[in-house]
Amino acid sequence: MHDICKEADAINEQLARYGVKFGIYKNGEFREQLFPFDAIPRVIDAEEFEYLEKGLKQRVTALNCFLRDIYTDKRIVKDGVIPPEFVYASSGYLPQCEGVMAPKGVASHISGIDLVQARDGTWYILEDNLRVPSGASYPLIARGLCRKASPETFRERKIVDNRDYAQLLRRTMDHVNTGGDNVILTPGRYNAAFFEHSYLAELTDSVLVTGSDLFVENDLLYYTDMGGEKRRVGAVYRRISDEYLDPMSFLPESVIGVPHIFDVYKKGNVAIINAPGNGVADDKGIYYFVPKMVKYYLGEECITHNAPTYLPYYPEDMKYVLDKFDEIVIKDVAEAGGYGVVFGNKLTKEQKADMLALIKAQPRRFIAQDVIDFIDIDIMENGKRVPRKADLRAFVLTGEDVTVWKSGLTRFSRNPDSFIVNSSQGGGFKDTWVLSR
Amino acid sequence: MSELAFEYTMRSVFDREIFAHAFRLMLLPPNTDRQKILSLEAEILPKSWISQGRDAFGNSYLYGTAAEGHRTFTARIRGRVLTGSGDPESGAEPKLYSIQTPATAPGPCAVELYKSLTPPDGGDALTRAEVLMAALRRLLRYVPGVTDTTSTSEAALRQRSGVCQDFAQSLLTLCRMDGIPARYVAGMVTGEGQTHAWAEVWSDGGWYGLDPTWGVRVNGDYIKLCHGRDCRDCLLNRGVYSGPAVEDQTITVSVKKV
Repeated sequence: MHDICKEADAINEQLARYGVKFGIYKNGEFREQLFPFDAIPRVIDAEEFEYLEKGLKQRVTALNCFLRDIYTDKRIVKDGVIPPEFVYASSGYLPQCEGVMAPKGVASHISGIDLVQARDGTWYILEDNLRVPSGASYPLIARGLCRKASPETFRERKIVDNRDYAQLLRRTMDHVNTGGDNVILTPGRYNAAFFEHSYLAELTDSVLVTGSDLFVENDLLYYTDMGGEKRRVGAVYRRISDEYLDPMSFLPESVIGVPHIFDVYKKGNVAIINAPGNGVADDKGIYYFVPKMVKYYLGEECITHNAPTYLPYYPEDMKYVLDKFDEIVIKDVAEAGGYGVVFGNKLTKEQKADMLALIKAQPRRFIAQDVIDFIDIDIMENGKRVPRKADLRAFVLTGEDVTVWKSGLTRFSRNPDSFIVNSSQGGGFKDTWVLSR
Repeated sequence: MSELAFEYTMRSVFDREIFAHAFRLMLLPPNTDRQKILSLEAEILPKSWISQGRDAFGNSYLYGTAAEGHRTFTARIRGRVLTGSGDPESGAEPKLYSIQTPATAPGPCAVELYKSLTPPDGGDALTRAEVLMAALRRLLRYVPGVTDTTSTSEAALRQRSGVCQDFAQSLLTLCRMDGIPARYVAGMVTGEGQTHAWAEVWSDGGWYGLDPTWGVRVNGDYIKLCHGRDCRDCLLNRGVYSGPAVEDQTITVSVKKV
């Protein structure tokens, strides 16, 4: 491991050359910055990973059941497990998807589940990302470079090779493909994760396209290849969000989408990965109900642990929020990427009063969680090991069966006082090693 | 009962050639308890591939793409409809229509207006909605051109003016505040001119049409085209194309008693 740390600068230089960057919009300006790689890996031993694998498979299976149910029969609402307003008032709920069945019934093909480990060793799920979770390409390319920089590190240790991600992804796409080529639809090079789009397209032998490369004719989706030939598309791994996907069915002002693609999808003539409408299941308010979903759909106890979560919507939880305000973290369900997260004890008196008034006025809009004191992981800073907060994004792929990728994206906060590790907040990343024994 | 003949014509003229013109026309009146479609025909020029779809609210639409270059685009839908067989329209799950959307979310003006009202206690939803409609009509003036399809009901209430779309959305805001499921309806009324919009409220197991622009219950003069949560769900024609052209669009609607 020591050897890799010595090579960290060289690896970061290589990452920069490959364009491993992260774009950030701030104050209306686009800036691209390197996504700093720290060479000390997160290491998960075989037994621990086996536990995570079982829990994550169960969780994602239940979430897929929920997505199939919520846009059709809504049994879980009718049976009183989830209050209807948590579904209909969710910004991720898309009424356009009512009655639509995704090819082969898979709605969340690629799920990015964020976890942290508390000091007592317990893993907690922070959130489920079922729309277009990004990040798998970073540990993937970093592993390749690390292996080159220090082959002996990987010879001496029993580390599961993570370079099968592309095959897993390819299989996931092929499983739902309705006939035709696989494409990766990117908004373009100004997107935060453009590196990932192009890299995964190359590795999965998919065609990298933007919205204007695709067109619909007689309810089938096509692109024009380099030779000017029209080729049918059977699966679109789209890296643009639902609202921008199709100006004919969603935001009419979208210029990055594909007109009529949603109608082609509704007719079963193309797979969209992940399915439109998934936002209803990764809403921070719905998160509270995931253990209940596992019980409801699978008849099993939920293996993964949610962070202790309170919904001010319920009077007893509102009381808890008011009583323990200084010990909890408040999250705005409509926000993502580490925005809209407020720690009760970091607020001034006025801010606190304003926040409480807001929560009372719009209880559905917020969730509260106990602050989990999650473990630090060391990073190298100016040649010294220093502890920083870190989380783990595990990738779960659903095709013919459900597979947890034996690696993951470990993100850390570079700021010693911060608990927020999101890359959009300027954090860095690590490789995640899963040991084979 | 009356038989109405309608014709909707949309004609766009572009100052230079455009391509890849994708369109969606939500202009197919549905068969409901209140209206029966006797005949319906659509004509779209230039030549395009055309298909038919159905959205989650149950509305049917035509869509397609005119791929080749063109400088004019015409869509004409005409038909005959038997209307006026009376309220209500049976329907599905009203929960979806009881939740405010960004376009109908109440702001200070809606809250103030709602507080100043005293709908009768215990009356059925329709009676209460009519009280809300009357209050709205005392406040809003019909002024074209001050709003567009992205305007909110709060904006209309603040400036105390708008067109049928704003009257309808404002009524939705008030009804939903009062716990009455209510939905937006786009359609046509007898006469010559533009399309129209009104609201339907869920009362006693059915949908009743209320037209807040004119302050009346919907009758045999109305042809419904589609419904949704707000104006954004009911955009009657959508189009995107390639080419830096300036578009001049004219829409004419005529509905006559036969």
